[in-house]
Amino acid sequence: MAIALSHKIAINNVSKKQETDINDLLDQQHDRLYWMIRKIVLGHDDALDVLQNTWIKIHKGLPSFKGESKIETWMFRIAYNECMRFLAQKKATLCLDELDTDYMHSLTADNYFNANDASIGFQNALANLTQIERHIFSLKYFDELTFKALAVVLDSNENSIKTRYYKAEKKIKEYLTKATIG
Amino acid sequence: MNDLEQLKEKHPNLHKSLLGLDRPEDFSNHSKALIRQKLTAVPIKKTPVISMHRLIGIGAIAASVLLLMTINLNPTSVPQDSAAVVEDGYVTSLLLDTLLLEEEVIDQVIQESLLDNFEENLALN
Repeated sequence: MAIALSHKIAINNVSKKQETDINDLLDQQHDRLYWMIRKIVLGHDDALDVLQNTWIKIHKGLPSFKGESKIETWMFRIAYNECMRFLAQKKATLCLDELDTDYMHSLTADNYFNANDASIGFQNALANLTQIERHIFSLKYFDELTFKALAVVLDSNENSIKTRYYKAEKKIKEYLTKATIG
Repeated sequence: MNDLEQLKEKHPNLHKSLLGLDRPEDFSNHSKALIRQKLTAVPIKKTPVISMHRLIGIGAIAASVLLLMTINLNPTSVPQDSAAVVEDGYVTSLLLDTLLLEEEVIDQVIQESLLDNFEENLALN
């Protein structure tokens, strides 16, 4: 009886702690995750859908989070996987011609894209990269993840990520030097 | 400092000024409220204690199955299928023959005793 009661109290405490945790995380990480997702899926409305799914997954997965990585890294990984799922679904509905111009097309089609000289120049530089290079560059340069965290988020080798990042950085620098923006 | 770092300093609001990505006003609070609403609709997983019970249950079942399998695999009484079947048939037929034989003998004895009784009755009458 005493054991059953202590279990019940333990369960209630876990629930309350999770509620507190998820609320704290939402306050701390909401905007970071939104921008990370937005830079990958590009459209604001799409980012909103992906963001909500991401938070539901975080909420469900929080009890089984083992702390093998930082919680932020774990959350970024969930968000990245959700982005990939979204992009795969989107690609399935696009025809082959659209795929080549997909990045700039998706970007300029969004109501919340405000074009200016700098943004057009930088976005063109990003469009020059392959999808994975773009993601790695974005997560490192804008979201300021470490290479170690990137390896966890992308479920990839740290050295291969470093190589891709420096390659992407070089391409962007070359493009920006030619375009002389900023 | 490389060019990209300088670019970062030049554009403190990176997403808006450098990437051109805008979003609605008060989006953050509105979105958080919406997400909180959705999260309350999703039941919180209360499994840390329950899962232990399940784990113990599954473990017990698995142990029982293993124990049963071990007992069955114990080679103390290895049945010899074909020989047993032949032997069984042979024994059965032998038994049947014996029974039939005994039946005939018993019938005979009964009939004889009945006849004896009948003769005795006749003699008495």
